[in-house]
Amino acid sequence: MKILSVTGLRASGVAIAIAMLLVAPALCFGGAKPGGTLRIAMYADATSLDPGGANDIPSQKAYNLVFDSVLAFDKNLQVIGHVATAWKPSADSKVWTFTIRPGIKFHDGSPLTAEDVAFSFQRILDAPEAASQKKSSIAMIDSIEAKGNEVSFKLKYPFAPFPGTTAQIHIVPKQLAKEVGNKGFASRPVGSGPFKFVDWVKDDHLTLDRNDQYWLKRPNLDRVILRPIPEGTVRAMSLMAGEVDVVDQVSSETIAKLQGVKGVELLSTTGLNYYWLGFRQYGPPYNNLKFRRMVYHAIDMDGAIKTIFPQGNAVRAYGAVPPLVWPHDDKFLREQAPQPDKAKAKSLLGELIAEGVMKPDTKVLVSMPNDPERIKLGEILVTNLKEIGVNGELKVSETGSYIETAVKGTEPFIYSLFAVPRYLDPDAVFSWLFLTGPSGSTHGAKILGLAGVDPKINDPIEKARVISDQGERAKLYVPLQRYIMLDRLYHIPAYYRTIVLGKRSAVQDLLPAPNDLFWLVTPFSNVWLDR
Amino acid sequence: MSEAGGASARVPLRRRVRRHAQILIALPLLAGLVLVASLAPLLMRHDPNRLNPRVKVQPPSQTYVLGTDEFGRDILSRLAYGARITLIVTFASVVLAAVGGTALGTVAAYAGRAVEMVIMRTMDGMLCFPPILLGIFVVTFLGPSLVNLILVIGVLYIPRFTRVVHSSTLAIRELEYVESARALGSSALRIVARAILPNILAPIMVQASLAAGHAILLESGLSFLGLGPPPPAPSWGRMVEQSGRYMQLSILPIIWPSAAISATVLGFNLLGDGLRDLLDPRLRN
Repeated sequence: MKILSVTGLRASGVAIAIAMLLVAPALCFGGAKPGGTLRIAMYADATSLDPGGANDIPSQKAYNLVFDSVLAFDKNLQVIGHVATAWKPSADSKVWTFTIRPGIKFHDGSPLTAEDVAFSFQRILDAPEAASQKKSSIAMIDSIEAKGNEVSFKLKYPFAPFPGTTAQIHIVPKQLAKEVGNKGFASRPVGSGPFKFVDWVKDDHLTLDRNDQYWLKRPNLDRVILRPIPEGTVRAMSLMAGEVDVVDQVSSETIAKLQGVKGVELLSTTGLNYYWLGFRQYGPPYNNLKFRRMVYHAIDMDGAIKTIFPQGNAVRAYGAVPPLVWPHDDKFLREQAPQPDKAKAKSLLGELIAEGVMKPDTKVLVSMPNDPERIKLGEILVTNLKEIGVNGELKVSETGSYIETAVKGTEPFIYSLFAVPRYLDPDAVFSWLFLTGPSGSTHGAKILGLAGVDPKINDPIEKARVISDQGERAKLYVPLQRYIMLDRLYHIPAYYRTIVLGKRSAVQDLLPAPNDLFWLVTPFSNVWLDR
Repeated sequence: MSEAGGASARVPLRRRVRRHAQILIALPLLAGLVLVASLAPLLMRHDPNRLNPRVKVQPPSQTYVLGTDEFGRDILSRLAYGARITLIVTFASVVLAAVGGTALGTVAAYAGRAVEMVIMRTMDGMLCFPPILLGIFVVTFLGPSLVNLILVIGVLYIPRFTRVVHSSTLAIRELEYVESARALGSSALRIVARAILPNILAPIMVQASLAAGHAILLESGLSFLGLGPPPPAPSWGRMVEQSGRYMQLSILPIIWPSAAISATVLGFNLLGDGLRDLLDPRLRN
């Protein structure tokens, strides 16, 4: 059930949506009580409420409640119809036509039309590079045309996973957005989603009220208040004290604490994410394959994960494709991956010194963002390096400047980042992390610092985009992943983090979302408070 | 009269007992610390950086006398090796501060009004800022490392020494023996070295032991903020910070390094107070 064929879904998308609509009310009226305010604590505040602007997870969590996307995900993260009821490609997969659901109204009462959908994409494409972080994810669009209740997208090249990309584009009212401008719109966003914007005091609270006219179903909650509480321990305490009803990103240290508390429940689900240690290829010794193999043999990743996640809320990764995304090749990758072996690492170090790549005292920089879990990972790596006689040094930077240095700089070091595929397709993983050259050097590839185009990486990614048969595409992705992870060792895959939400027992019908958003009102859920 | 006489006879004794008590507590405490720090490799059974995921956050046992931390490292070994960092940073930075402060202080007291003005007002300016703030600022720029930490703390404590040395020198330079040395034709350098320095050594010593206490606090504070020697170095401040994260699961790992910091600071402060009483001629009887 997890891996449904994309083609089959396209045809049955409407059917599923309708089925969900029929089933959902039956579930709700079983005891759902409308009313009440849901207070949610988030690990960070949104950076912007303009869905065309910010692409970070906290912002997505916030504006996803105010806006509707063209398509959406179901419980298993399969693409389903949402604002668009049907979608189909042309024979060559280069033109995609979406049928827009009639009768949807924005919060200001104006109707949602195909024009608005086209505009919502166009304003992202027209934005200067820095202004819209979403631009690169829809860069394959050449032109957009709205006609009647249909929108058609002409692509620069055939792109089979296109429907998935539209599930993360939200629809804004064209007329209003044009009138007030981007800045004005971001300060008073108007969407068509289950909740209406009331007010936002940055780093303090965001208040949203129920949209009584929501086309999908009437939300049960009167009001939702999102509060940023960055410190994991404080988030847990607020939940225990009943100051908030839901907390996200329950940290490893607090899971054990929250587990026995009366009135508090933990929800968890497989996370759609991939954390890794990477070698920036901008200089020696990091761009030396033998060096990377040495580090791989030096680190005890299983021990590290046991240490960092004592509650088992992360799974060891062997490749870049997270669980929930195909193709699964973990068995092969696990068997072939370099094992922790101090003697082997030491002998490789000897060879590297003999070859003049390293000196005995060469400093190996391990740079980590300010995330307690990855600081621990860094500390373990540096300790493991010292054990084989390598002069490892750990540097910790504030997360924002860390990413900026990684994207813009050309300093070589060992880094650690994580990626969340924007759609449930290996293309979202591989093109973002490794694609260089004419079709755009992505952020991931820039951070890794691949010199020039490697046809062994680029060719399969580009070929797989044109094919729509999943089996055929998997035949390209499997060897690609093996090449990157086993032959080139650009990454040491670290872990897939489990999504853990904490909630008060009164909160009903809340499901943890693998993509880390808040599923408050969806075809399959409608959160309510049992008070 | 007899009552008053009796009281005056008891005062010095009581004072002596008190100052001895301070020093009697301080000296063994600090001597023990120095001993443990210097003999750590011989005394400790475990490598302070040895990771062992199988024994994370263990309570005290025969194998791990003070238990283990979240990485499964032996807390006792980390405390012992951490004492080395603390003592090296403290000793080096206090020596730096004392030498720098003494030089500036005597120059200010001896080299005329303009120089005095510039030096002393600069020192006043430095004293205006809370040391931890300046420390954060400078270490952020230079990058965290042991040497930078020593430099920062050393420079930050120069003004305290400058002021003490400056005022003591001003008091002494008009005394007869200094005047006689001047009359005999000694150079300024010789007067400072032979006549003044030996006589202001007492306040410098007192200041040094008090500054050592402050330096430890500052070092721990900066390490706590992640600006100390980079991990996995077992600095006490970092141990407090790291164990604070899982304090709710186990309280002991945060208590040990905190107690070590408090005891050491207490040791230096008691030593400073004791020395002040011992070396103050007005209290000598």
